[in-house]
Amino acid sequence: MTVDSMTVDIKITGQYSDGKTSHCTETLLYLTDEDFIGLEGIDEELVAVAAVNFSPRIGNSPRYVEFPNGAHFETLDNDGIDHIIERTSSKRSHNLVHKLEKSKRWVLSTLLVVIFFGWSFIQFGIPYFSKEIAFMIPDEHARLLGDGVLDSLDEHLMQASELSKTRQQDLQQTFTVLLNTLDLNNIRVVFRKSNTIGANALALPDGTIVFTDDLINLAADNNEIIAVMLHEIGHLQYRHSLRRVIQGASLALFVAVITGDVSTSSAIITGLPVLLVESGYSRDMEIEADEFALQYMLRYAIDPAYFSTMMQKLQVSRQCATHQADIQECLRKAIEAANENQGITQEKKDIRQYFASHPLTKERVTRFKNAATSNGSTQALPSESP
Amino acid sequence: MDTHANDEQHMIAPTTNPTPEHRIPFEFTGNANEFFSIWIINVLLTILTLGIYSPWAKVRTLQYFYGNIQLDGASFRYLASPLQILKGRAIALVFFAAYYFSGLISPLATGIMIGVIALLIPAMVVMSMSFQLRNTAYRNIKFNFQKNFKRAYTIFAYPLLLTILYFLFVAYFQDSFLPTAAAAENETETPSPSIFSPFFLFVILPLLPIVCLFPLWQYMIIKFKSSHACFGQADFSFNGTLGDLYSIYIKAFLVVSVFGLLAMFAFNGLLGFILTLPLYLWLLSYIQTKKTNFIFGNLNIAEHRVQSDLKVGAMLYLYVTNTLAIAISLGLLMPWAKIRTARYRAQMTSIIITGDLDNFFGVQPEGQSAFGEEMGEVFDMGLGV
Repeated sequence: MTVDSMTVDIKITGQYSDGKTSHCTETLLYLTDEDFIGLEGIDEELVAVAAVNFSPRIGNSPRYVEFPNGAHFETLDNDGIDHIIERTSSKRSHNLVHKLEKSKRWVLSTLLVVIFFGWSFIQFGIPYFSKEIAFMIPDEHARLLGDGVLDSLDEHLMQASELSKTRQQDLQQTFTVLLNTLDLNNIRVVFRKSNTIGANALALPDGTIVFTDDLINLAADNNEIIAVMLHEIGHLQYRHSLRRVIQGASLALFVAVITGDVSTSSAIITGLPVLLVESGYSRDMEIEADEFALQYMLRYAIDPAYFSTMMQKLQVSRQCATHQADIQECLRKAIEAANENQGITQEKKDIRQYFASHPLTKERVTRFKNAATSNGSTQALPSESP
Repeated sequence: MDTHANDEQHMIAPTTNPTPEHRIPFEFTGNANEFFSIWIINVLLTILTLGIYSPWAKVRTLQYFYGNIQLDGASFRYLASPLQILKGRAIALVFFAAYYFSGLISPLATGIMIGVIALLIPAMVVMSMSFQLRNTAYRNIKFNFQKNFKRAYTIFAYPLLLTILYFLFVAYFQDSFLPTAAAAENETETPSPSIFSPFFLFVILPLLPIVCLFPLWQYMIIKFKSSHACFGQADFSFNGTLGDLYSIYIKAFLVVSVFGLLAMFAFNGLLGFILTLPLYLWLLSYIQTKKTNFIFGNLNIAEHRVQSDLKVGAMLYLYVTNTLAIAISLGLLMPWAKIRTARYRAQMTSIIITGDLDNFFGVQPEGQSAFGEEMGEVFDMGLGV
C-alpha cells in the first residue's frame, strides 16, 4: 500500500529515530482514512494503527509513537496524537488519568479531598491504628522496648536516690497497696536523684516508674504522689511509648507517600510539620493519662485536687530549674505558692504551645479542679507537713 | 618521499580537522501548574488504593520530568513499567518482614538478617544503577550499565576492612585506656578529658584516618558508577581527579572550622549556636553542589563532554526558599519546588559537543530485566551517593 492510494487525514510534525543510531529526522506522521500510519520520507510502507503503541499523555510532555520494528516518533503535538487515538480506537478509557489532571474541577475537588483526608488521617487514623496495633502486640514483646532504658538513664542522667530508707519503704508500701488494688503486679517503682531532669516522674516501657527525689520532696501529702503515680500508670496501661513509636513510623510512611520520596533531603523539609503533629500526639497522650488518673482518683475517693496541686507545684519547680535559682529555696517557695493557690504563673497561649509535649498546666489543673468541685468533695489544700 | 608524505598530510588535514566544539544546554520545559495537577491526582489515587498505585504515580512523575528535559531538540524518556517497580517493592517488603520477625525469634536471627542485607548492598547499588540507566532513553537509544559485581564488592570491602581493623586496634589497646578495677577503686574522681588522655589517643585518634579516607572511597564509587555507564554502545568515561574531590572537602572543612569557631567565640552561648545554622545550610549546599558539578562536569562520552555549572549560592537560595514554602504550605507547594529545582539544574548543565549527537549506536535488545534489578530500584532511595 502506498500513500497515493489513500487520503491523508491527520498530519503531525515530529522526529523519527530508528533505534539503531541516535540520528533524528524531522518528519511528518500521517494517518490515512483507512487507519494506517505513515512517515513522510522515511518509509514507503504503511503500518496499521493497531500495530503501533502510543505512550500515555502526561501533561504536555513529549509523546512517543512506537513502531513494531523498534523505531519511534517523538512529537510535542499531544492533541494530534489524541485525535488519532480517538478516531481509531473504540476504547473511551484512554488518557483517563490525564483527563482527571486536565479538569480544573477534578483537581480542585481532589485537593479538598486530599487535605480533608490527610488531616483526618493524621488526627484520627494514625492514633487509632497505632492503638490497635500496640494492643495486638503481646505484653512481653511490648516491654522489650524498655530494655536497657533505665540502665542508660542511670548512666547519663540519674544518680542513686538520697531519700531516707524509711521514706522510700513507706512510699513503696503505699505503692504496693495501690498496685494490688488495681491488680497490677508487673509495675515497679524506683527512686532516683537527678539535677538534669528536676522534679519529674517517668514511665518506662518495661513497666518501671521512676520518681525523682525532687518530685517526692515537692509533695506535701502521699496522695499527691499517688496522683502522679496514677498518671504514670495511665501511660503504661495505654502503652504510650509503644504507640509513640508506631505513630512516628506511620507518620513517616504517610509523609513518604505524599511527598513521593524517602530521601534524606526531604526529612529536613518535612521536619517542622512532623514535629508539630508529634507534639500534638504527645499532648493527646498526656490528656489520656490524666483521664486515667482522674478516673481512679474518683473511684477510690482520692480528691482530684491533689493532682492539680501537684501540677501547680511541678510547674513552678520547672521555672526554678530554668532560672538557675537555688533549687531548694525555689522549691520551698513553690510549695508555699501552691498552697496559697497562686501556683500558676501566667502561661501565655502563644505559638509555643503547638510545639509543647504537654498540654498547658492551666488546662490540666482546671479539669481536675472542676472534677473535684463537681464531685462535691472539695477539700482544703493539705498543709505542709514535715 | 618524505616531502610527498608531508604534502599528503597537508592536503588531508583540512578535512579531518575536528569540527569546532559548541555548547548545547539542557532545558527543562515542565511547569508547576501542570505538575501540581499530576501530583495531586497521584496522591489521591495512591490514597484510594492504599498505596498500591504508588509505582504508577512514581512512573508518571518520572515520565513527566524526563520528558521535559530537552537536549538538542529531543527529550529524555523514562521506560520502567509500574509492575516492575511493584514487584521490587513486594520483594523489599518480604525482606523487611523477615527482618522484623527475626527480631521476635532471637537477636541472633536479627544479626544474621542484618548481615545478609549488608552483604547484598554492593549488589543493590549495581542493580539500582542498571535499573535506572536501562530505563532511560534519549533519541530512542537506551542508556545501560555494565554490571561489574566483582568491582562493586571490592570497593565496598575497603570501609568494612577499615572498620574491622579499627575495632581490632581498639580491642588490642583496650588495657591502655580502660581503667583497671584497682585503679577505679583508688581514683575517686574521673580525670578530666584531655587531648592526651589514653582514650583520645587509642579510640578517637584512630578514627581520623577512616574519616580522611572517606572522600577516597566516595571517589571510587563515583568513578565506578560513571565509568560503567553507557549510552547505546558508547561508554561513559570519568576524568575527575581524586585531588579535585579532596579539595571540595578540605575547603568545606576549613570554612566550617574557621567560621564555626569564630561564631562560637565571638557570640558565646545561644547566639553562637544560632549562627551555626546558616553555616550548616551552606555546608549542605556547598558539598551537594560541588559534588554534583564534580560528578557530572567530568563525564565524557565519545568526543563530547558534560559541563555542570551549579552555583552554591543559587542552590542554597533554592534550598532555603523551597523548605520554607513547603513547610508553610504544609506540602502543597512541593510540586512547585521540584519544578523550579529541576529547571535550575537543567539550565546549568550543558554538553560540549564536537560535531553532532547523531553517531551513537543502539544495542540489540537482550533478555530484559535480570532478577533483582527492580529491588535495586527500591533500595536506590537510600543509597544515592
